[in-house]
Amino acid sequence: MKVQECVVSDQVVQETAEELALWEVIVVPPGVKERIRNHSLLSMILRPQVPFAVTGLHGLCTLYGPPGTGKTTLARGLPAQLARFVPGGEVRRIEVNPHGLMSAEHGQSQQRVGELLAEHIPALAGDGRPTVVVLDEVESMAVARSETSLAANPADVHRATDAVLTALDDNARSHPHLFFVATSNFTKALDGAFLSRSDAAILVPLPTRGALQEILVSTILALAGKFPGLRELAGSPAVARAADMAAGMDGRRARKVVFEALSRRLETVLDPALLTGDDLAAAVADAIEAGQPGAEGA
Amino acid sequence: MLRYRTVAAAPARSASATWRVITQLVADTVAASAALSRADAEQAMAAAAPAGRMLVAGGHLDRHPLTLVAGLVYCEVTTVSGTAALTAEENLNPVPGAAGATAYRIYLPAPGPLAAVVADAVTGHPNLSDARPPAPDETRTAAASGPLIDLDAVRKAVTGR
Repeated sequence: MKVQECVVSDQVVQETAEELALWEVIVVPPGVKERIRNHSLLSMILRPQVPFAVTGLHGLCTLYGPPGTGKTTLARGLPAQLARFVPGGEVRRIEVNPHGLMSAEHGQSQQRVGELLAEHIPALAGDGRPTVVVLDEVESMAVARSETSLAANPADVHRATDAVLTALDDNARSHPHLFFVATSNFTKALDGAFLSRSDAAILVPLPTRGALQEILVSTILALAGKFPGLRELAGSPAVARAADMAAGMDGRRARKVVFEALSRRLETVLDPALLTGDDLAAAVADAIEAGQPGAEGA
Repeated sequence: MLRYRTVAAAPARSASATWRVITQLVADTVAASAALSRADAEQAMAAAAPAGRMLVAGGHLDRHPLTLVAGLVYCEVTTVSGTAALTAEENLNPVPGAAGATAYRIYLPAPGPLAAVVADAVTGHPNLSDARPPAPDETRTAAASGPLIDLDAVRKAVTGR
C-alpha cells in the first residue's frame, strides 16, 4: 500500500447539519465535547503566536476509552464544530488509516510513517487552512516501546514509533494549522512519549445509565421521523427499563439494539411502528446474555 | 522546512535521466504554488541542464547538494551512485511547503573543476544561482498568513451574543 493510500479521506468541511450531527448523536459525559473543541481552538490560537519552546503544544489530542463509545465519530465531527470559529467557515479533515503504514520490509515502516506525517499530510494541508487530522486506532503506529520486546518484535516497530514522535515534533513547530486527534482503545499499548506529547488525553467512557436511555430514545425518535407510531414507545417507561438492563453496554451496541429489536419479528420489520417495550427488553437481554461486543454485563 | 531528497544515479540511471528526475521533482514542488509556474521551473532546470548533467556524471551531486528554496521549502537534493544506487530508496514526491511561495531559487553546487561551467549556466537566469544557499529558516510556519481562528466568533460564543 502506498503512503498516499493511507489517507482515506481529505475533505473540506463546513458547518452543515449532516456534519454537526456527528457530534449530536454521540452521548458522552458533560464537558467531553467542550474539552475536545476548546483544546483544538486553543491550539490554533496560541501555536501561531507563541513559540513552541514556550507552549510545548504539539497540536495533538488523544481520545481513549472502550470500543463503541464514539471516539472516532467525535474526532470526525470536530472540523464542523470548529468551522464557525474559522475565517471562511471551512476546516479540512484528513483521515488516516495507520494500519497500512506498517510494512514487513525492514526499515520501510519508519520511512512510510515519516513520509506520511511529515510530508504527505503537510502537503495536503499546504494552503494553510485549519486542518484536523484523524489518526484512528493510533496504537498500531505509536506502539509502546517499553512494552515490546526486541527479541519478539522487529526493530522496525521501534523505529516507526520514533518516526511518529519526530514528525509530531516537526509539525508542532512548522504547521500550527494542523491539529491531530488520535483515538485508541488500548492506552497501555500507546508509547509513553506519544502520550506525553498529547496536549490532552481525554477519556471517552462507557455510557452511564442515563446516557444509555438517551441513546435508546434518540435512536427511536430518529426512526419516529419516518414511523410516527414509535413516538409513544420513545416516551414510555419501557425504554427506561431497557436502559437499566443495558448497564455496561457501549453506545454503538445500544444504538444497534434498537434495530436488533426490530429484527426479532417480521411484523416489526414490515412496520417498525409496531415495536414494543417487550421487543426492546428482549433484544437487550439477548445482547447481554450473548456477551456481544460491548455487552460487558454478560 | 529542511528536507532531503536522494535520487539514484549511475548505474541505475544515466546522467541525463537523473537530471530529468531532479527536474521533475523541482517542477512538481514549485507547481504547488499558485503564484509560480511549473513551466518556468522546468525552463530554469533546462537552462541548468548542461552543468547539471556534468555535476551528476562526475558524482559531485553525491557530495554537494542542489538546493531548492521556495517559500517554506528548503530541499537539498543529492544523488547516490555506484552499487548503492541500485538499492536506493527514493522519495520523489513533491516537497511540501511551496504553496505560499511567490519566488523560488535553485542553488547549484559549484565544485572547483566545474565552477566555470556552473557559473555560465546560471548567468542571467533569475532563478538559478551558484552562490552558497542561505541557511534554512526553521522559524517560519506553514499556517495561512491571517489568524487561524476568528476571535470575535469565539467571543460571541462566550457571551452568547
